Amino acid sequence: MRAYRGELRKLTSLPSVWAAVAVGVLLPAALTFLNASAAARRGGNVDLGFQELAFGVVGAIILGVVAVSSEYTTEGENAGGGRQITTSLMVVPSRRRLLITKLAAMSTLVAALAAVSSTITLMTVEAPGASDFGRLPGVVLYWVLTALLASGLTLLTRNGILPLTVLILNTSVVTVTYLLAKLTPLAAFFPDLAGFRMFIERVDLPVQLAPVTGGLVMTAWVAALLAAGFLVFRGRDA
Amino acid sequence: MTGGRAIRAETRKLLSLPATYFTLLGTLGVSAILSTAFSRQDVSPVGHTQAGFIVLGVIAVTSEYSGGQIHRTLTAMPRRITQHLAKIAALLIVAAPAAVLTVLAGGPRSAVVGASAYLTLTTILSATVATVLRWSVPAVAGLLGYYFIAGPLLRDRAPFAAYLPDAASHDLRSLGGSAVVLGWVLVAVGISAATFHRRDA
Repeated sequence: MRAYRGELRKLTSLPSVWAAVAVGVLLPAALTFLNASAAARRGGNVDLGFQELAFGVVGAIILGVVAVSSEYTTEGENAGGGRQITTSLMVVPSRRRLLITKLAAMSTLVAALAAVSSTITLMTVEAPGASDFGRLPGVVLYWVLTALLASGLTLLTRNGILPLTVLILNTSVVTVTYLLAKLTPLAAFFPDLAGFRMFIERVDLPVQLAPVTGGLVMTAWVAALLAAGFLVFRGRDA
Repeated sequence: MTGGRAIRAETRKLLSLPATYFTLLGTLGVSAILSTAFSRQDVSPVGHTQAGFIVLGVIAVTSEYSGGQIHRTLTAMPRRITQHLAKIAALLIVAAPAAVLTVLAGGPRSAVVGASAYLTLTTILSATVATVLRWSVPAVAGLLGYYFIAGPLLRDRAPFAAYLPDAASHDLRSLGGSAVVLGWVLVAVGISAATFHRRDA
């Protein structure tokens, strides 16, 4: 429990984390506000707000990457040539425990961020129905799983640039996985396209998945990546 | 004289980074694969490629700040404006041929000049942003967030979006877009040079 609190304090002390929180809250709400009138003119959009929340996940991605990469960077004049990870492992020598508490603290933050952001975003949608609020747990789960995916990738690379590039590119307006889905139906099982199903109703993809199936597919990806990340983290020098 | 030697030194430093080759080869490979895979779909040609050049611009600058290289650099070349401009020049020397190669490998071949100019200018712009921020993760996150999320979304909704630095990526044949980017680059280099000149290293 003390290790968990420590991780939480480390995270909230990072300026990048607060920047990610700002992005995660402001981006989807502002986009929904901009898109609302266009959607109304076209006779409504069942996924208004939710599509925008799929872009807001970039806040969760940054959080997931920074939670791990901040342990390894030596940039900035205050770093003193050392890396945070050596101190962290001195304080919590069990790598399993360090990783679990770190991921738990990060997931707590992302879940809170997703809950706040999706509530605010739905407020900007005119008259959201009860079924819309029923999709909110899907949004929260999608954000947390994406952040864990980002952490898993960063554990492998120890540097934030590659995972950030890959994941932000794939959050763009025309994502690479979506384009791949035009080539092969198998691409519908990529973690992001499968995870979407948890809260987006109209999906233009060759394979239809139920929300629960989509969530399970995404969870399987995350579990595999985190397992690989943990094995590497346990086996190598800090 | 000093300027020429500074540029040579900066070019050698940039070419000594494994990350430079990793980024450029990765960009070249991914660009070739994507263009083959998506040749039948209407996808902006430099759309995904520019990510690699953004990362290149950021790495060229932030590599100075991991491990205190910047102190050695400024001991060897205390004139900061010269040093900064030499770094930009070195980046131009490395990025321009890489951009031409990448465009030839991935297309569009009909707009080689416009596309390579755009990619090179975007590299410089990213380097100036990284100079002001000094940390690679915020610089990469901010730039990619702008180029891949905010920029494309603004394009359809705001009339002023045609004057933003990413607008040219969608209209490579007319050089007007590249002129807009050039304007942004000149302003950005001015700001980054002034910041670098005034602040503690």
